[in-house]
Order: sequence, then structure tokens, then C-alpha cells
Amino acid sequence: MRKFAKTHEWYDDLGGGKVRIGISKHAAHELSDVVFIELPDVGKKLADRQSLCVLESVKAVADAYSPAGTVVEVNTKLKDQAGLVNQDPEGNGWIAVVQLDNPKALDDYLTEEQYLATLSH
Amino acid sequence: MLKTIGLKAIDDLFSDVPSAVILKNGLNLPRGLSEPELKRFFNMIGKNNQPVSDRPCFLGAGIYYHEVPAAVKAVVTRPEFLTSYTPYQPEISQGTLQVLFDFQTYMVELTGLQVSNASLYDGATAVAEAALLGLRVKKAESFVYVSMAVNPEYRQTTQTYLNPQGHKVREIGLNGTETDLELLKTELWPNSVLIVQYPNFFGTIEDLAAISKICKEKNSYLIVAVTDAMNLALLPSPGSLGADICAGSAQSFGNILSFGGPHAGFMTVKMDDIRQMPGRIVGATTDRNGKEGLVLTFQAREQHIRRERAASNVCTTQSLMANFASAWLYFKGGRGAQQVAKDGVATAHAIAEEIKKIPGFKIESARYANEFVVRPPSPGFADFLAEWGLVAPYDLSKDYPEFKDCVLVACTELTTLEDMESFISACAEFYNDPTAKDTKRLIHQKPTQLPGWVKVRPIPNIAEHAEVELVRYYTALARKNFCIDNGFYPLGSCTMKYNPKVHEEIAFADNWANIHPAQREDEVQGALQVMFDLEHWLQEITGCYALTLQPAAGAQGELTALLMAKRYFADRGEHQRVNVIVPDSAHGTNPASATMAGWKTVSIPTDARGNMDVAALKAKLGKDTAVLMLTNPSTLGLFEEHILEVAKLVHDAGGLLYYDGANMNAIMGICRPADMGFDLVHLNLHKSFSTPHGGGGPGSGPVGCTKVLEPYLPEPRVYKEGNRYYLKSGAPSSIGRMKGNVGNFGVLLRALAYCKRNGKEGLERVGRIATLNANYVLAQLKGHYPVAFDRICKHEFVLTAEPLKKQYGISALDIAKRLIDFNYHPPTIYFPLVVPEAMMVEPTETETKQTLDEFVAAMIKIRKEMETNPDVFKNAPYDTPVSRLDEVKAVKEPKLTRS
Repeated sequence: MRKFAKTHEWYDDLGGGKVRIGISKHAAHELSDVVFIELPDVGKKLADRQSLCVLESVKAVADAYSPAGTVVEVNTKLKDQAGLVNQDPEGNGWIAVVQLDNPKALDDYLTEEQYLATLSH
Repeated sequence: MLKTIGLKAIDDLFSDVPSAVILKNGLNLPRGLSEPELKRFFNMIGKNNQPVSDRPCFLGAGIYYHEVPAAVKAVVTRPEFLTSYTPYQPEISQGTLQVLFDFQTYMVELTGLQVSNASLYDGATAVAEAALLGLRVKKAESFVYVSMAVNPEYRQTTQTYLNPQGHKVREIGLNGTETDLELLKTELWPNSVLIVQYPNFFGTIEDLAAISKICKEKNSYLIVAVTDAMNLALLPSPGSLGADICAGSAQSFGNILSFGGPHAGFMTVKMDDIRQMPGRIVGATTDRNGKEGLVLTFQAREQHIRRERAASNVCTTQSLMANFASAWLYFKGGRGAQQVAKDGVATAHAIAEEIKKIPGFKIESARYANEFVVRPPSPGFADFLAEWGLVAPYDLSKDYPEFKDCVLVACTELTTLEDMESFISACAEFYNDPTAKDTKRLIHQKPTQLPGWVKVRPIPNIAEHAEVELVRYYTALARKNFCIDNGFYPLGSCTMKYNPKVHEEIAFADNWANIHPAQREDEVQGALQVMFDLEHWLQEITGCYALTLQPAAGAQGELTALLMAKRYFADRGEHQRVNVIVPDSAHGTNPASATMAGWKTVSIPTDARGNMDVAALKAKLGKDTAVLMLTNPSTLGLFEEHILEVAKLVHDAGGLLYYDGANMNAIMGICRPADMGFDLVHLNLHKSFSTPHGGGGPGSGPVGCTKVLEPYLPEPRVYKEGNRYYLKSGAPSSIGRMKGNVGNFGVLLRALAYCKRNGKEGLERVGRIATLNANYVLAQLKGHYPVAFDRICKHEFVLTAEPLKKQYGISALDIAKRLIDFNYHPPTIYFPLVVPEAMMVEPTETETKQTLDEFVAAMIKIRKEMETNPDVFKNAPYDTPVSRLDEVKAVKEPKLTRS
């Protein structure tokens, strides 16, 4: 099941403790045109809720965060097409796959419904 | 005006300032001078400077006496360039953007790399920033290697920048006057960063091809530093010889000496490294009608946006100084620049050949360009040359024991035949050789021949222009710029006050413009007095015990203060203090400076009245607290009502308080940061002290401190003994050097003129009138625009367009752009970040009531348009050289130089 963070990331459980990470439609809209993403290197170790990568729009930067783990795959398409994050944030605009240190880490995150509820405040 | 606000007296505007800190008797400063008195003062003490312009000058060592054509000075100091702000509003800044774009084009061509920024603080900080860039690219944790043949001030500044982040600097020794390549091969650790200078400090043209080969073998990054950029027009470019970065000073192109600053620094890199580049970058794009135009681009790199993710200390550029360089190169072209460089090198070699013939003299430099080292037969040579009437060459004794008593002789195109004869005669006299005195025998004509071994690059591809073409080009560009002299800048947080003309007249007088920072102290007593006096004025204004004038800009002032605090805590063994606390309304540079100092940022929310939330602060204070950075009045334009309590809380927790002087204008003459409990204070001379913004620099960010923190101030510092002023370095606890030379002297000079002209009464009126003006405008606008915090403001206030955006679909940006059609510069928008759709208005004290009334009327008219004609906003502004530009395209399809 897809989980969300209050910091506007989504996490898809791929099984075996792996999660695919991207940013929510709401975040992509707020950032407006994403022009560059500082993609992490495969193998990068992340502490809990540490920045996975920095996304740049024309005049703003934002971090995407991840639970503790190791980056095992990055969406290399984003190197040349950062705009995918705007066009399809919750699909082809995914950022990376992380092998979680604690496979149950996602339990603490929000469901889509809960996440959307945080936006209406 | 008070009636409109609903108050009785001006001092009622300051009822939120604790009475304990209100200055009861005002500032203890002398009365203001009339303009003639001011000029007389500067003429008088100017006589204590001996400019280099009427004597033979052989002093270089990083700053060079080249020609600044009258036409270059005339076009660049037009008010449209001098008094304009950073070109954030491209529709009314195409003039500034174009000259910076030209600068980028020229620096790329001269250095042989691919991308240039629009200038940096100075050469020394450019190299320090380059070292940080190299470490980021290499992801190297360890070492930066610096050749001992790199300018000592550049090395010291690099050290200061690298230390707080835990990086180590290692020096590579010399073989004669060049970097020891054998040593380099054995010492250079793989995957590290190397800095060499080209030509190096001793004038020697380093073998860059060989050095680059060693770097490639070790997978290391090569930074080439440059001090006399004129030589880049003559010698093969660093890029063509394998440099990864070229960084240094562009002073040689049209920047007056001005006692060492302000001067433009530059940096060029390869395209792959563009996102690591510090500083602003101008790029070409198109507007809504498909018309070409320029914008600041890749802004997401910049530290005020990156905040705690920042990788650099650069906020401002040295826009005006880059503009001088740009105009010089537009005028003289690549061919003219190459000829100037050739003149210097040919002259240097001709003199050296003659000196060699005088017994006892030795030329130490190998393969040199326009500078060389002379070893005299006995000590005392430099003193002798000064007595002979020359601007003596640089004495190497203090920096290099192996070159004790040796001098570094610099020649340029301004070295005349008579100067050469004079120098050779002096050498002969020093040796006491009567036959050698007949110098006419030695050199008959100004030399033009380069030594045969000098490899010359192709003439740089920079077109030259007639003087009239330069003047017309700049006149056309000037028409595309908004500036203080043609309109009102209600630009919050930027304090765009009027820049008095008399300051410029003083600063460009020969006795101030043409003094070199390495002249002997007895030749620059006037300049040292300016610094000493200004320190005194600023100490009284801030209440600080001691002060440094060195920082190049506000952001560098912040870093300076944090480095001092870090050193202080280290001395006390309190290494666990790593947290810098900032309110969420803070300028982006605050968290960025904390990161640059190797610390972490903790953010505190704003309470319902716009103050920093004291309860939240209490919860965050502890043994890990290093510094609280506070702007007061805050960026919301509100005085922190609990400042005394906040100061006590921070001090009780063992932390220090830092005052961000961005908003000093509101309280100048009313209360003082030190009296509120601040331990460290920075000021922006380009804001509160009316020095011109120059289209985005030069700035100046002096830092004051308490007695306890004085030992940590950067060096050199200026002292007075009897009637003599002098500079001194060497305090064991000093954080070292933040930039080259003594600071942006030209800016300091104008700031002192401002202080002396205003005097006690004038300075005491600044905060009062600035605050009166702001409240007068606020009182009239608040019925029409929602106010973020409805209380008496200080020198600025924040409106929010959030409800208007919801109701009419018109954003802060739309309102800003529409204001341009009424001939106003837009307010600061989208800052502070805590207010959605923020519009921050700061009228300053120099605007008249009539100007304020007209602005209010325009704002109200615009508000009515939202109801009557909302479509008008979509394409505003209308009659500007370009309309709104496609900033996404500027990043996605970068075009960063002229084709």
C-alpha cells in the first residue's frame, strides 16, 4: 500500500523491505517547475528522515526525505528530464528505491487519506 | 503625518522598545559637517596619502596599477548603474544584466573555461570559494593543497574558509620561484584539490600543462588562481592547459586601486560544475512576446535560497566592479588587452636585464611575466627605493624568509621610460656604482619585445570599440535600468536610500582612488585614519567595544561573526555548542552562514504578534546552543518586544547573541544593539550608510563585538599611536583573514563621509524618519491591503496578497509587476517566508512626503484595478524593454555568454 509523509513524499512498498520514493502531486504543484534534482548515488546510506535528495525549481529548493536505509536504485531519467516530477509525480517521476533498515518503518507513515487530510488545514 | 498614523509624537513610534535601552542623551558624536566642510576634511586628510599616480610605481603583489580610461569611469558611474539594485526585476534591469552578461562572456574567453559567474567579493575569496567547490565536486573529505607561490592573502583567506568545515590546507613548497613539481608528485594525495597561481606571486609563469598532468594522474582537481588578469589576454588560457577552475581578481580591468577594494573577483568553471558554482549567473532567455532578454538564472544555487543547504558564503556580487571590467574590455577589446599585457611583460624584462648588469643584484624569478623578484646586494633596498621617490616594490621579507630583503617588482603599461630609468639609477646608486648612473645609456626606448620563450595565445575574441561607441552602448543600456535617481524603491529589507553625490566626488579624487594597499604606512596615513575614524563612529552607533571593517558584505559579516564565536567556544572547550538558533522569519543568509561555519540551524516560530516565540526559544536553549542570530527589528519590520528577556535567556544558557544589521536603519540613533545584549553585530554599509548598491555590490559588512570577543576579530586591524596610524596582525586567537587587503575601502570611505555629513543630529533622525515614513505609508495602505501583523511597524512593514490571490487570482508578483508601470520599483516579494504572498515595503528616510503620497495613490489605484480590470495584471509591466521572461527556459536551455 502506498504511504505518505507529512513532508510530502510517497512510499510504495515493493516487498523485501524495498520502497520506491517520490513526491506528492501537491508538493510537485507547490514547487512549480522542477528544473534539477540532485540525485543520490546508489549505495548512499541514509539516516532516518535524512534528505534523500534536493529538488530545485527556478527560485526554490526542497528536500525529499526517506526512512533510514540504503539507496539501491535511482530514476536516472530525471537527470535530463527533471520535469517528469511535475508531469507525473506519483508515477514516472519517482526518485529512488531505498532498501529500508527497518522493513516496518512505513507503518509509522500516513495513508493517502490521512495525508490529504493534512493538506486541508 | 503623525496624525494620519494616529500618534502624537515621533517617539511614540518606539514605545515597543524597552525604555532601558533607549538612548537618553542620544549618540555621543560630533555635529554634522556642511558639504564644503566635508570636502575640506577629506582634502585635508587626503594629503596624508601619497597616490601612486604621480611617481614611478613598481608595486603590485596582487593589485596592479593599470589605466582606467576616463570614458570607462564616466559610463560605469552613471546613476543607472551606480544606484540600481541587484537585477531581480529583469524588466527594469536589462542594462545591469547586459554588462554582467558581457563580463561572463569576457571571462570565459580569457580563462578558456565554459561558465563564468557575474563576479565575486574579490580574488582571495574567489579562490577560497573555488577550493570549497573543488572539495564538493571531488566529494573529498581531506586536503586542499596550495602552492607557496600563491598570493599569501589568498592562501590565508582559503585557510579561514576551510577550517570551520574541518578541511585541512597543506602547502606545497617552492623550487626557486615556482611550485616544486617533484614535491607535488610525491605529496599530492589522490582525489584532492590543488591551487596554483598563474603567473604566480613571484611573476613566474607556472608550467600549467605539467601541473595539470600530475593532477590528472592523481584524479585531482586543479584550481588556477589569477591576480593580474591582464596576463590572461597574453598567455595560453588556464582552461586550454587543463585547469578545472580559474578564479581570482579582475581588478586589472578598470578597477581603481582604492586602497585594495572593492575589486571584482571572478570564477569560471566547466559546464558540468555549474550547479556547484557560487555567485550570481546571468542567462539569456525570451519574454512573453518571444523577445530576447536576460535574467538572473540558476538561482536555486544561491545561499539565500538554499538556506541551511548552502555551500557558499556569497550573497551579493561585485556588480559595479565587474561592470568596470566589462566596460574596459568592451572599449579596449582582446587586442588592446593583449597589448597592455605585452607592454608590462616587455618592460619588466627590459628592466631586469639592466639590473642584472649591476654588480651584486640578482633576478630570482624564472620564466616571469610582468613581475619579478630582485635580490639586492645588501639589506635595506626597499627603504632606499622609497626614499629615492619611487612607490617601492613589495618587500618579500615578511612572507618568505628565503627571500629576505628581496623585492617583488611589478611593471604595467603605465611604467614609463623615465620610470624605468629611475629604477635602474636607484639600483646603481644603491650599489654605489657611479658609471651605472648614466641610465640614458641603458634603455633608449620603451621596450616592446617579449622574450622568445613566452608562448602567446591567440588574440582574445573580444571586439574593441571607439570611445564614442562605448559611450553610446552604455547610454542605451542605462536607459533600460531603473535606479534610485529615477524613482522610488520601496524595497523591503534593502534600505534603498538616496546616495549623496558628494561621496562619489570624494571617492574618485586622486588621493583616495590611486592608493595601493601595500604602500608603506607613512604613505597612506589618510586611508588608515578613515578606517580608524569609521570604526569609532560605528562603535558609538552600535555600542560595540571593538570592530572590524574587513568583511566584504553582509553575508560575509555574518560568517565572520560566527567564526569568531566558534573560536571563542573552542577556546573555552565548549565544542558541544553546535546549534545556531534563528527565527523562522530570518534572512536566508543566516542559516547559510551557520552551515558555512560548520554548525547546525535550529528554527524558532513567530508568535501571533510577530515576535519570536519565547516559549519555543526556551525549549531549544541548552548546552548545545552556540549563537542566536536575530534581526531586530525583524524581517517583519517589527521590534522584538522581548529582546531583553531573550538576551538573558541566551546568555544564561551560555550562548552568544548575534545582531543581523540588515534593519539597523530603523533604530539608528534610538537604541543600540550592544545595549540590548548583543555580543556580535554586523552592519550593512550599503544599506544604513547610504553607499551605492551598484546594481548588486560592492557591499561592506563591518562586524562589532564585546570586549571578550575582541581577540577573535579578523586581521589586520588598524591602530593609532600618537599621531601615527598602523595596521597589525598576529593576535593568537584571531580567526585570520576573511578577504584580501583591509576591506572594501572605497565603501568605507563613503560611509565615513555619510557619518560625518550627518553627525549626531542627522544620524539620530535616520531611524525616526525612516520609521515615521513606513508607518505613514502603512496607515494609508492597511485599509486596502491586508497587513501581516497590524501593529506599529519600524522602518518597514509586510502586506500579504494571499486573500487577494484567492479573491481575484492576483498574486504578490502580479502586483509587483504592475507597480513597474507606475514607475516604482516593486517591494520585496515572497519574503519573509512566514507570510504567504508577502510584500515587504521599506520607504527609507530619504523620501519626501509627496513621494510617499504618490506611491500610496498608485497602490490604491492598483487595488481598484483588481476589481475593475483584473486582466491588466496578466501581462504587466507594459512599457518596459522586455516583458516577463521565461525563467524556466533560462535554466533548461542555458545560454550564459554572448554567442
